[in-house]
Amino acid sequence: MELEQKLTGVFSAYGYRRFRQAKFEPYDLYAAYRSFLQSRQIMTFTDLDGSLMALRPDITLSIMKNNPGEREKVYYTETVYRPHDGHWREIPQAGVECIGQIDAFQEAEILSMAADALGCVSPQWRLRVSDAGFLQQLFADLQLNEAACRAVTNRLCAKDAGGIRELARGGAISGEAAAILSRLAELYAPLPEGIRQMEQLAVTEAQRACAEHLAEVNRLLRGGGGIYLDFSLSGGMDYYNGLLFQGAVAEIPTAVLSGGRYDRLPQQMGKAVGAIGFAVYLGRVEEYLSERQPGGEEGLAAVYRPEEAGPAFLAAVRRLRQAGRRVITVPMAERPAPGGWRELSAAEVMALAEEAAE
Amino acid sequence: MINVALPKGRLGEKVYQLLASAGYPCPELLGDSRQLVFENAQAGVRYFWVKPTDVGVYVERGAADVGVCGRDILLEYEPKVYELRDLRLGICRMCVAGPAGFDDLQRERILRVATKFPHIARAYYEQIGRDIDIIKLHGSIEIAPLLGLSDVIVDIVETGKTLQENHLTVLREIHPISARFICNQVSYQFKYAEISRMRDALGAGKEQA
Repeated sequence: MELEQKLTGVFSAYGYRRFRQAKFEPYDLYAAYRSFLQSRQIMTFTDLDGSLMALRPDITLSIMKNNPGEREKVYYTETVYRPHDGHWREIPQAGVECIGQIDAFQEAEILSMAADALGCVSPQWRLRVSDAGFLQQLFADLQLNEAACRAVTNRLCAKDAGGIRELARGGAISGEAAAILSRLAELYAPLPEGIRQMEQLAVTEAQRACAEHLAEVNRLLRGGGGIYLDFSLSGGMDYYNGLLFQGAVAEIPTAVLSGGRYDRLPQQMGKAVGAIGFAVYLGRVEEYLSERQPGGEEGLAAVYRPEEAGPAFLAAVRRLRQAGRRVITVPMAERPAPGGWRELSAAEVMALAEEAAE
Repeated sequence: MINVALPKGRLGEKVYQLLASAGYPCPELLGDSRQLVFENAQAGVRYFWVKPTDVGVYVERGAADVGVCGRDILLEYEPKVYELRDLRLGICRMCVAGPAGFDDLQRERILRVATKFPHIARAYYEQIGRDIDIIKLHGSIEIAPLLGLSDVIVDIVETGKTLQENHLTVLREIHPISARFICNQVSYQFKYAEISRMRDALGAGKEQA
């Protein structure tokens, strides 16, 4: 799979080593850290000794469980098992986890790696960045209760500035809160400009510290193009505690990459490290983008009659493949060839093979 | 080019008139043709007529960049889309209705609720901690309490006339409903300038500050 190879090439170039493990874990791992999972439903089975096992719904938990509480940079290309539309689905993912002391430099590097990963999917990509720490601080400073936090997050995710003002009219939040939060809902700007707007909205010391931290990440990235600030990325705040981000490409209508800073998981596991990572949704990319063929050359369908199916034909086809062509053989009775392959007769194949040999 | 999913019917026609006067005309749209897709390449817009309940799906899955959809549909199906503007059209209310004086909060037994909007009904009663039995219907909801099929209904109320004719009354308002200008989350990023321009053209004077 070409995309997978490209991604693992990017991950290795940043010094990440491959993480491999069995497809299942003891169920207790997921029961204990359920709030870190996207879905609470887990596919379980009984092991031969009677213990309850689960097919992995997530890779990060396995990586973190195995981490000895030290710096580690790992990547994976694995399958996770999650429910979708009332059925279980195998979902292929490729991703990275950076564990250790996470400073602004590590965050900038993860963002640049996410941008490189998106570049493997399509030249037209966007990476949106948000800050769960800033939102949590802002909600606390605005003294939003739990129900108000939920309602505001729901409207932020929908970029519904009008809905936030509606919450103020209904008395759920103050007018002052609505004024700030509705501007936040509408904010979508290249990172340097976005941070300028964020700085205007930050009123307390702690909020300003979040903006300064993001500005430092931006300085390290030198305002890299394609990265935008967007606070509609505000879901998953139970999981993420700082930077969070999502990547998209023009050809696919939903996000193909998502990630962020998740220090709470190692903390809950009693490990004195921070963590940040992301995953690329390989299945989603496959659904929408037909695989680009290596070398970009058109595939050939070599159609043959029974009397042509001799050693000379087999050798000719082999010669073409050795010369770097992709060739599929199709018996005449099974024509037409699959879509996307140019049909050639056996005689044409022989002629082409001779040319290739010269 | 912006792809716009419009809900078939009066609301869609009204929204089209707004868009046409805002610089996105496509006059064939209102003709008698059975065609469902109309394009004005010069104005950079392509319209589709789709079933109102499907607008969210078209937009979420990117077949349309933007669309117009009732808030009832957004609350019921929760498509992952942006709600960029309240168009203040198609204004009505999502309500619990039943016979006058009926107390839907008395907890002697499970409350039977007939509705076209099971998700909204379930979410509402869960929030107030009341056990309910959902009876999913596809139309003529108002006769359910009349025939003893349910205790109450959860449905859209515009004027309240149909309720009155069926001896029902609004017991509780759950959500205000109106038409929303919605947008695919990825289209928003790649067509930000065009979509913002369309949103602003639609919203001029529509939303109270």
